[in-house]
Amino acid sequence: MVIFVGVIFLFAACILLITLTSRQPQVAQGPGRFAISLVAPFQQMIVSSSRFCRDVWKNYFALVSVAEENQRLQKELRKAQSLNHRCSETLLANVRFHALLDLKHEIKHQSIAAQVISKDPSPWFQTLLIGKGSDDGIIQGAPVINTQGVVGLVVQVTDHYAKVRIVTDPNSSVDSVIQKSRARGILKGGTSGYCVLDYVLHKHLLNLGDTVVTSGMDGVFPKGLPIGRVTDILKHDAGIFQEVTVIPYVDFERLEEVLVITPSAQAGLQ
Amino acid sequence: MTISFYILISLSLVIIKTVLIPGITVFSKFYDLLIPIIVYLGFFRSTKEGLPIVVFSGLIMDSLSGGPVGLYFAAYLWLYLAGRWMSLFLHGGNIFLITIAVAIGVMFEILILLGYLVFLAPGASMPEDAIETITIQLLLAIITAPVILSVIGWAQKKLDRWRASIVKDRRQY
Repeated sequence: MVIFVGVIFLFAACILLITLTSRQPQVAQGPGRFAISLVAPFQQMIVSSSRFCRDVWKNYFALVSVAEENQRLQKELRKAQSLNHRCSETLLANVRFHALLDLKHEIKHQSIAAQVISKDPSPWFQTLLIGKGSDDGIIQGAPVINTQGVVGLVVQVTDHYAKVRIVTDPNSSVDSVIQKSRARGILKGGTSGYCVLDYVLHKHLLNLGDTVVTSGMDGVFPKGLPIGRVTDILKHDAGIFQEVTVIPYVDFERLEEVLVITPSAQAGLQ
Repeated sequence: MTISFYILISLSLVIIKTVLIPGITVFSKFYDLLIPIIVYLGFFRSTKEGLPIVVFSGLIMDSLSGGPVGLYFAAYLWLYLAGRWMSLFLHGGNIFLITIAVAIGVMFEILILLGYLVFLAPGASMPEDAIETITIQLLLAIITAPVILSVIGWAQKKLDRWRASIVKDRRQY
């Protein structure tokens, strides 16, 4: 009986305590405060340690995966850069090919596009080797042009390659006229990127910047193809000719593709 | 084997000169890279080995250059013969002397080419920048020839040793 009463009393006390404490906010005072102060540092220490371990573990794996990802991204970046480079090259080549194609349509005659393979081994001569030869229909003496103007003349042909003597070669000569004044002369190469227009009569009035074009009188180059611009004029008091220096329009340093005019085209152009 | 080796070197140098060097504007007036080889052959190798290479190099350069056929061949032949003659009384092992020999070789080739341009070419005119080109070529020859000659000498020694070891192995068997 006593035990029964004791259990009832204890139960009631518990209910009462819970009811009372649940109605008030918990305040860390007295033993509660002490308990918290006692336990919390250890809890904190254990939690911190476990978090540290967890972080180390997690970060280590994370770093490994980051390193792997970094390597993967770098590889992708290299691929993308390579692709971008190729795309840029293709884009530039496309622009050049378009210009060459436009020129091909413009001259409305048969012509063969060829790539420049190499340049003359000697600085005293100015020739190019192109990647098309007699098998492609190129013959000796065929004029070579590009979008900027006259490049030169085919001087030697093999089955798959041809040698082109460019207008700046000392052995090159092109019958030319000044576009504006129609003064005629022979354009000769001067080796270092310029040409000299010989036999221009003293009486003709020339201006710096005048365009020099092919006259078509040499029977090699079609008439009216741009060659270069006048950069220097020297008129001596004595003599019947003036000395004219011409810089070609074609940038031979950067020349990559050319157009070789084939015999039928020349016949049409004359 | 030596002939094949020098033909390979000559072709490599010609390709460098015609494809790679023109892409570098600063070196557009680089001297003929085969001259150090011709001079080296004249000084150090026998006529049996040297002459075929001289003929081959001359023909290659004549084919690729815009000059008349035989111009480079003649230049190389005279250069080679001059080298052989000079080797009789000059010690070729001295890098300074052989560098001077290369510079003289470059000048000799320039004189032949200019002689052609001035007296024989249809236009018959002297390039206006000739002095500048000659100066640049001579300077480049003096600067780079010792390096090229050293590399050729080193490669030749390796080749000789390798050939000697092959001969020795064959004799043992």
